[in-house]
Amino acid sequence: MVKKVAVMGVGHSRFGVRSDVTIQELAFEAVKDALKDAEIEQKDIDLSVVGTAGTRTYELMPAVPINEYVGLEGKGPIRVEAACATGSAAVYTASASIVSGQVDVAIVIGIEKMCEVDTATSMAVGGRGGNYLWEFHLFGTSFPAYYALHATAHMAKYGTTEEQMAKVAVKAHKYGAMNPYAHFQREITVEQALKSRVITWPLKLYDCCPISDGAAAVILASEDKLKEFKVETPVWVDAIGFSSDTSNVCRRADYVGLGATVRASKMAYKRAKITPQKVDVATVHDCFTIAEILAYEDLGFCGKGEGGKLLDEGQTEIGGKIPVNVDGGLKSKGHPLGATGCSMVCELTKQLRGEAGKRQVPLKNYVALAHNVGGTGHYAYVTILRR
Amino acid sequence: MAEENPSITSRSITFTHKVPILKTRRFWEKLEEGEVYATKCRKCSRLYYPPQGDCAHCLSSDVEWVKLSKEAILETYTHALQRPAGFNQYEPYIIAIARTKDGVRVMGWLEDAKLEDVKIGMKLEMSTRKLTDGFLVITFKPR
Repeated sequence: MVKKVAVMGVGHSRFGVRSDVTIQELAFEAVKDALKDAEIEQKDIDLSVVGTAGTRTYELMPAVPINEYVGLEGKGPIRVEAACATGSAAVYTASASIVSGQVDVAIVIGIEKMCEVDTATSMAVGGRGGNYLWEFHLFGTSFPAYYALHATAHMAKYGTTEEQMAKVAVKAHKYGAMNPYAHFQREITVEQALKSRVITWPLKLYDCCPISDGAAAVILASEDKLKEFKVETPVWVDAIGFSSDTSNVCRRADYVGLGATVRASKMAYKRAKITPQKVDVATVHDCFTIAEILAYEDLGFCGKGEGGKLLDEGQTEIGGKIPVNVDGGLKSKGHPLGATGCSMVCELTKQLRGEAGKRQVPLKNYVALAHNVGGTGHYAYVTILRR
Repeated sequence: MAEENPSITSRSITFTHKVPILKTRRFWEKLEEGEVYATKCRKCSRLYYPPQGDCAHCLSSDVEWVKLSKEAILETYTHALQRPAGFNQYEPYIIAIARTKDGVRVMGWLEDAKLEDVKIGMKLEMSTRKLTDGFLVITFKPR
């Protein structure tokens, strides 16, 4: 029998350069927070799923060290990796374990320590997130370079401007400034963004998310357990859509969108029996500003090539047609790879519960969407939550 | 300040891999001669670039080598000012993706062109070049 799954509790660490803690100590912050939110103890958990890309830390196989430190030894763990979509893949794994009836309560610990190595090393690791031999080895592709290739193509085809990309960053920082967990908690201007130094033209410093440490935890439970624990406002995991694409970017259909996002979102909308217009609030994968514009279009929030216009009209701010990344997004909140997908579920759960404070969006359909990309569309997960 | 937090230095570890190229040897050899090769499945005729010794479509491992045309059209590009570790010894480079006359896309460095003159759709000539440290790179030049 297929079981329904709900979010029972969420927890979040502060994102940023967290040189004050080890990976285990960082996990502790999110797990403690999530247990408190769910009002349960470690003994109530059947399975731990640790989502971490784990490519920049000295603890190369960190799932068991983390589980031990947070008092979850014996509860799994399963370690999951899907590049920057690791957190969502981990949520999927935990959710599937509950749906299939194998466990009733699972915790997903999404975590990444990225700041223990220097930036050039980090870029060389990220650049290997595509295809090492045929792209990175030969040409020194980095992640900013991959997204810049998409930005150039989108600008040429649809007339998207550097200013419109800057607007993504300005919006992200506006909401990041209101998020106590965010890496950057300060506002910026379009002019500042446009004047920042070029990383990989046309992308500039403010078009790029920072390199961050962070953890986020999500506790999922079956419908039966929710009744047992008397959870009053469960947020249901309605559907998770997934897809992927070629590792060689040379083999993609085009550079003006991410096919994996289109396919994952179609799967999610179909499974949740909704259209994009039903979504009250979304978190999308804005690792680079152009990525948010691509996401608007690929998720069906606007037509192809109209992403820039949606920003110009302010439709993705609170009060607009579809508020996006009102937690600061990856750009301002930070993007600790394994944590990002879980952090999105944390934010949307709070939004659906009406607990997002100053950043609360108006709820009409009580439907939220999390869009998490791995690599440059190498993976895509679209998770639909509903209250 | 975050930098002031106490820390200790880890034991260092360096990975330098031996990448097997038995199935793609021709590609690497031909780069030395300024040519770029793809593979074609003898059974189902699929053309693969980057080359691969096994056909993902029909699962045959009977493939032949095909020399790609040097004529290509620029599809997209970026000027990489900030470079990853392993590439900082070079001047900033333009990474380009171009489609050859054969219909496959090839990545390379676009050279001998000013950034402001680069336009998507421009005609390019594909070649290769040995960098000062011995690594080979595929290059494009305006035609």
